[in-house]
Amino acid sequence: MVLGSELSIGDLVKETPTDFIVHKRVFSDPLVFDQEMERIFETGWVYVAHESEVAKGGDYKTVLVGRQPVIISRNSDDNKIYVMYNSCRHRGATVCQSEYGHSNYFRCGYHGWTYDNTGDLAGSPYEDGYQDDFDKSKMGLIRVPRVGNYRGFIFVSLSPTGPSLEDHLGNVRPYIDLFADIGPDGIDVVPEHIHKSFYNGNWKTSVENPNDNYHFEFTHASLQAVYERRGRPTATMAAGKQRRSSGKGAMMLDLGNGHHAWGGFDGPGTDWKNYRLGGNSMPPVFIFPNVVLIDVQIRHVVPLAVDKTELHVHLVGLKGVPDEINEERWDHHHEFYGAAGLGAPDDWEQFERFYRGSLSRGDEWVRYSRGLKYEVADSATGKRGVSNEKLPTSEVTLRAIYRQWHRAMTSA
Amino acid sequence: MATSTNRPAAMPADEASVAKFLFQEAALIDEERLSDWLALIEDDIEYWLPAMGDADEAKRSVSLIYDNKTRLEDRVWRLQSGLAHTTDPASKIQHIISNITVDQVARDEVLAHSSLVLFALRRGQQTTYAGRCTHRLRWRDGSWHIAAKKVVLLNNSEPIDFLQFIV
Repeated sequence: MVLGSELSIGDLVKETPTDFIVHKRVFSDPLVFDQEMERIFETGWVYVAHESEVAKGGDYKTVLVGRQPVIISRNSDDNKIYVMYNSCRHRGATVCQSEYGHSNYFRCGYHGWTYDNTGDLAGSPYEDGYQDDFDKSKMGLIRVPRVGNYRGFIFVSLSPTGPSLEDHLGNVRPYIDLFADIGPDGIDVVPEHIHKSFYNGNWKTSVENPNDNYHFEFTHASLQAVYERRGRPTATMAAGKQRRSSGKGAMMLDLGNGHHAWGGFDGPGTDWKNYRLGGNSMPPVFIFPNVVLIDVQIRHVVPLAVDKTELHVHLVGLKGVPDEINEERWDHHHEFYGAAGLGAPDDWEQFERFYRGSLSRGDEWVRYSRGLKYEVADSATGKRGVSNEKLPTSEVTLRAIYRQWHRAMTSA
Repeated sequence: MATSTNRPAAMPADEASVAKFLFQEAALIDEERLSDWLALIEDDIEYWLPAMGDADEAKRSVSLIYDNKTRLEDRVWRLQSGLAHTTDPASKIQHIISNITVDQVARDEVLAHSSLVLFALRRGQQTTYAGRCTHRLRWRDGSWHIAAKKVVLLNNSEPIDFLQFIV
């Protein structure tokens, strides 16, 4: 796609052996945003829900996949999860109006067409008003082409073709396994336990952030000072120190396919076992394009416009542990996160400044070159990484995003 | 009014006295006199803004704020430190308190229910919040103190950007 006379989409990310730069349009141009919706969010695999959000037959959740509203529902008869477009086959109106709920039927309020929760059309009023060849069985809510479930995490693709979910997840799968297994009996995500926030900035800035080791002590200077005043090791510094001081082989990683985390070429590593039940219980993992697993949360990133992003933070309960453990985990969460948090809003403030600055064209590019000279590749897995011993504040994890972005935005 | 030099005034469990206190509390916050506001806060304070609607029990629910005295002191310190990027620029706020009712619940405590409208202005954008407040006020040494403050914002299950002030 050509943007004006001077740049095509493929020109917007430039990687050389010594430099990695991304054009500011990637963060501020509505035309680029529309292409992202089409080529990334409405084509590839995107996260929509954890299966425990629709735990019982009849449960449903509605989400946006890119710009498109869908319903995720669990059918009572076969206990399977169906994902269908939230759009009546008559005149297209949405048939499900709540974010979460429980119903065996979705009725369009406009002309009464009624669907069961697999999407099949159960009935429409005065059916004799149509031609004789009106075939009810073909007039159900259209199901999305592909639905996948990895360890309870539900993803959909609005394209019938493309890599399988397993292939897309690739090297991030062991991290999802770790997260899903934190609770002895698994994890629980319930609709009542969500922090929702928004910021006036671009979605990609927030998926960089969880493994942007460079930002902690500056962005979170106020929280660091709060902790120092109390004689507490700062959460941000402690996390940074973990990454910095982890044993040989601890790296920040481009896992391929846009995902990022830390660990080693051969897997997450044993340090992860230390992150089990305490407050800061999961180091950050990003699953391209729209979900972060971190601390005690599943962070679902919802882009609404080039300059507006919602974050739906689902607090995760552990099954099979005493209540006090979950309470302690959530109490820690509440200190940092949420619109009144002492930590996360300082990130969002930077995301907004990033967006506003990206409107300037004095320097048309922003840079992601930290640690490029230390980056090594693993041909066996396709991972790339920078050792924490060499440079704990590298940006290899951020480069992961834009490498996949470039691939997805320029593929035929 | 003290009836002797040794005995503080008895608790006035009437709306007028409570209303006056709530208006004074709001003024302290709006005028950024947070150290003076903290002086009104009891050691067993529970300062609570539920998220996702209302709740009876904070421990197993999601909250925007759930502070004991220590965390509340940290919150105030951070807001005043000049180090928090969310206070650069800082929000200007205005509380409107109304619809006040009072129930005496103990010899020295009342529950004060009120409606709140809170305007927050930052970077040229004015956001309006509304909600119901419940204060547990304790009468001690001839004046009101805040033992608990719960605010259920109307939009607490909607996406909110910055609540970087005392609600």
